[in-house]
Order: sequence, then C-alpha cells, then structure tokens
Amino acid sequence: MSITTENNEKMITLMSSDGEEFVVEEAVAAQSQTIKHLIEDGCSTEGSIPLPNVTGRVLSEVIQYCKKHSSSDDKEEKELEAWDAEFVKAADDHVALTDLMMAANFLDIKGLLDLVAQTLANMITGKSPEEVRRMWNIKNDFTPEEAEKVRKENQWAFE
Amino acid sequence: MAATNSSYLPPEIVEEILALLPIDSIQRFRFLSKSWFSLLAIKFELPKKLLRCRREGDQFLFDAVVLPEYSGDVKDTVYTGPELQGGIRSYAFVGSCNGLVCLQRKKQFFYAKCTKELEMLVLNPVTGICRKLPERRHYYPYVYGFGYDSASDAPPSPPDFLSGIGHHHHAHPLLMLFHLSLSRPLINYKLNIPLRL
Repeated sequence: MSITTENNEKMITLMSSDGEEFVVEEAVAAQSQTIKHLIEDGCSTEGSIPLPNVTGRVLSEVIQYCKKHSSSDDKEEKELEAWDAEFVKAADDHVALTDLMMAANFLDIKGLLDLVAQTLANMITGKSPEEVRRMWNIKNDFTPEEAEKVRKENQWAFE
Repeated sequence: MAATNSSYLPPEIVEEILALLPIDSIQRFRFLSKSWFSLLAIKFELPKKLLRCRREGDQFLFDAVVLPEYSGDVKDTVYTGPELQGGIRSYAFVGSCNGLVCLQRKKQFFYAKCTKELEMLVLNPVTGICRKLPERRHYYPYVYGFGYDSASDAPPSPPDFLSGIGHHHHAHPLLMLFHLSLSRPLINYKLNIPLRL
C-alpha cells in the first residue's frame, strides 16, 4: 500500500520473509534497484512488497543502510565512509555479513554489495584454505589425483 | 535462501568476494574446492577497474593494473618483477584475455632510429608470473592486440594465444600474426603471413 506522509513523501511497505513489515520512504526503498523496478511496475500499489529472500533482521539492517545513503549527499563522503565502517563492524561476523551480502545481491544495492564484499574479502585475506572452508562449510571436493591433474593442465598459464 | 544459515554461498557472491582478494590469497585459495577453482581459474576475468590504462603522448601507460594488489587503492600499483626493467610505466598495454595480460616495451636503437626492437611480455596476474617473449626486430612495429584462438580451445589443450603485429609503413603495409602455443616454446611464428593491403 502506498500512503503519503505530511511532508508529502510517498511511503512504501516492505514485507520480509518472516512476515515483518517495514514502512519506508520511497526514496529509501528505491536505493534497491530491485524494489525500484517493482515500484515502477506498479507492484507497490497493491499492498506491501514481499521480499521472500530476506528476513526481518537482515532487512532492518539493509533499511538502515539505505536510509543513511539516501539522506547523505556527496559532500558528506568522509562521514559516510566512517558510518559504513561502523555499519559492517556492527554486523559482527561472517554469517551476518554473508546474509547481508545475499540480501544486497537480491535487492541489487550496489554500494552495500561492494561494501560487504570488501569486508568479507578483508576477513579471509589472511586465512588458510581450511579456515575458509570452515567459515562457509565448503567441501574440498578435489581428490589429490584431481588436484595434481588440474595443476598439470594449467601449467601453460604459468601456474 | 536460508538467510539465517549461510552454509551455502552462491557463486555470484563468491565471485564478488574473490575479485577483491590480493594475489597471494587467490593463489592460496585456488584449490579450495572445484567451484572456487573454476571461479579463480584461467577464465577468471580481471576486475575491469584494475585495468586502468591511460594514453600519454603517443603511448599507453599502465596506471594501476594487473598487479599484485587487488585490494585497497590500486592506483599506481607497480609490478616490480625482475622482468619489467625500467618499471611498468615504460610498458604499453596490448590487451588482456583469458586472464593473461600482454605488455610491450619499445626500445629505440641508437644506430638506427627507425628500427625498434620489440619486447613483449605475457603476464599472468593471478600467479604474478611473467614471461618474456623472444625479441624480434621490426620496422615501425605496432602491436594491435592480444587474443586467443577459440577454435583450438578444446580441452585438454590450452587455448592458443595470438598477437597481431602491424606494420605501418605506407609503402609496405604488413600484418603479422604471432601464435603462442605454450605446449611448445612460448612463441611460435606459425602464422606469419605478410598481408598486402
């Protein structure tokens, strides 16, 4: 449903996968290209926009980010950077960051996606392959023979 | 998508993260799993923002490019491998394809100003290893590009890299293609067809 506030700002209702509703200004929601396109297609007039891939906890973080970034202009770049740094720090661990990144990917919010990707990249930079596998439950599906074979095949690329 | 349990990491997410890793991490993580390998393997495209290339005077200069640091401020990152004598700034960027980058450096000879020796390098930014191609002397050489022959890209044989070198003299226009088959010596003048235009 779209309602209008006193200062004439159009409001949009977003619904998370676990049924939580968030009422935000259209300008805030439109930071997400996905939502922006839904609004343009008229999907916001028939009630709330369902976001089946994003939980309420993650969505509230995403909205925080969008609010900050829709209200700041370029002059406040330094302050915004500091805010971003605090924001990802508050997300705490790689699980929360991964959730956030998947939401940013689905909602198509480039700034947030880049921010979280960089944070995760920094996080794993010094880690061993085994530590990274544990972080995301990645199975090492190379047998020693396969790994050797692949190494050989890639000799040409100066491996 | 299980938003509360991130045990599954979709490839598009992994790709975003991997693109930001510094070179030593990329090397370390290559054999982490098959899907990571395929994302980091030869098809791994360099993030475009790293291939900043600018024109100064009559040649292209590398600004940031290719080199060991993917993360942080990439501006003026310099690859200081022993192969790059005179610094990366004296090299022109020919092209990049399939994760390899081709660079060239022109040397002027004091005894014959019209003759230039062409020094070409192929660099794999993922492994940080650089190979110098055998030098050849050309008249007014212009290197036009670097690509690969997809027709020979049938596994398990690696794609063959091609580099086109043109000759600009109005009286004798010439186009040569150099073929790099890496199962043999790095450069192989298999296609060396003078093309009268």
